[in-house]
Amino acid sequence: MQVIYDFLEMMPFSMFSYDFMKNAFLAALLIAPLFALLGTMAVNNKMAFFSDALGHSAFTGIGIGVLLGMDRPLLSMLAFGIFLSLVITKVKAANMASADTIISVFSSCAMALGIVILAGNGGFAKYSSYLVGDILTVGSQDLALLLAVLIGVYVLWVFLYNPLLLLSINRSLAASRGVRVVLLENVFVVMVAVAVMVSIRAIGVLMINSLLILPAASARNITHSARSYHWMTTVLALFSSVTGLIVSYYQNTSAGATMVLTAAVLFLLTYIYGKIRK
Amino acid sequence: MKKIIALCLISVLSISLFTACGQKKQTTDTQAALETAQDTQQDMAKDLQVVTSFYPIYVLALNVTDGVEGVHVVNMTQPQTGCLHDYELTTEDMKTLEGADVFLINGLGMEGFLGDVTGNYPDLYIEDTSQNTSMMEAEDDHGHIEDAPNPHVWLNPSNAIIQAQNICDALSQNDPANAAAYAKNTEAFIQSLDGVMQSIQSLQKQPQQKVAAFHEGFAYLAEICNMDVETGVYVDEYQEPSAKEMAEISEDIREDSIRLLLTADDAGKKYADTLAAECGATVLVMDPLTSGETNKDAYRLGMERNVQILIDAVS
Repeated sequence: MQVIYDFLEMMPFSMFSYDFMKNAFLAALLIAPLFALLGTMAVNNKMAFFSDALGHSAFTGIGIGVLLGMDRPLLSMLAFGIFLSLVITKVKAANMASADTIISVFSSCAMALGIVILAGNGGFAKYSSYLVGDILTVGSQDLALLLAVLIGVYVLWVFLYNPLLLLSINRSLAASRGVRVVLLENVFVVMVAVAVMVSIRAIGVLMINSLLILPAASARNITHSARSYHWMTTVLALFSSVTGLIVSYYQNTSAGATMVLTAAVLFLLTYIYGKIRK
Repeated sequence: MKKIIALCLISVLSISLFTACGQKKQTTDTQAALETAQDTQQDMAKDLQVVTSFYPIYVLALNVTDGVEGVHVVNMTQPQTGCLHDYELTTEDMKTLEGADVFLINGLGMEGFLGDVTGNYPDLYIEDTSQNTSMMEAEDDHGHIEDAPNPHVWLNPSNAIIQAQNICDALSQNDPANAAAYAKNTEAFIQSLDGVMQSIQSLQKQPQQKVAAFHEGFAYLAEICNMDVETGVYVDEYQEPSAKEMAEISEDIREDSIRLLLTADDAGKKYADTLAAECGATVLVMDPLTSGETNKDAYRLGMERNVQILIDAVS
């Protein structure tokens, strides 16, 4: 850890003279590739709204944690996030209503339930930091957890990428090729749930989905192969997170929101570029 | 379709009937309780219903009314609510106020919903317990004075004593029969704080310490304990710091060689921990006494703990 700190101090930015900025920077470096990777598939599978619902469900997770008297509600957030993602996938598969309707139903329920529990237990204000996140108070434990999740997701990706791509192109085709479609879908949504829950304290409920979707959406504007799509998403995610953090430091703005705004500007630029090139 | 609509109507009707029955049962219960209470007191006057706005006032009121028959103290908000910033009245709160004779508030803007209360209950006797207390100005995290008083007056025990006396006056006025008992209780409360006052005096003999506060209320505690709040972050007051502000505060802490960071166990603690790791300062987790046990000794015990933490840190 000290080696990384010393390295960062050599950089020509005054912000690296503070440990908390070094931690925030490292958190951004870990969260960006994690979300970039999951985002590529979330955008392919039209799951932008799904991950948004997951983010909102964090409130219920926190609420359950508070009811159980937990100091750090991460465990209950993870448990509820995984539970909700599996339930949404299950109900969606029943094809009773369109996917966005079902997700909306669960999203509103989870959000409302969370607010009822948290507000009922006295004072919602205590938890308001989860809305916008506070990347500035990330500690070394949080960084270790993020690193573990990042490695886990990348390792799983090596094995699951081909079947996932097949699934995103055509579900029936994937099933006919012997892909265990339901299991694969569940594994993917659980990965998204875990990634969202471990990062939500740093990024915040309101911002988290943008970091998942925007880089991948921007990359889709300008790339034409699966390989370049992945690379471009990762590069754009890293660029917007790091730039957002640096800008927020020097311009005195909210860190998470500045990252998202940078990503949004990138989307606009890639959109225009893509249009012109066509 | 008709069946479904009929079903909906029936369920709505049955739910409202069910709730109505429940309420009726509740009122009978309360009535029964009231009747038994009245039986025991027989000729005594009608019970005095005292409602407090939030925890610290509730605990002070418990001290003043301790052992007095025929007075009921109810806290309007939940004990875990904490400070009342931006609190909005619930239906339950309105019901509580409906039966109140006296409403004891902290004042100084803590009860932002007060306008709603006076609008709905123009005849309710409202006592602002912060009258005559010595108040400080609220400061933002750069030490700039804001145009409003810092409402957390109870964190100075001398103020808490004045608040208890105000409560005593208000209750005596509304319930003259028990005035002597209220006065005796208030005197006992003041005496129970002797120990805390002595500890505070011993702190005042120490050289002045510079501290950073992460809860606005600790300005009062710091002032009487001969400590100077040089900087602070009041997340509790919706002042979440940006990266630049965090950098400035950590510079302040280094430049003023601040050794102690006073925080409550709330959202501000994360920032205190982060800055402590940054600057090598010590975090003291103290109790702003905005929530906790609902017994009359909670204020004294909480204050004793707070002052002891400061004494340990200084020596």
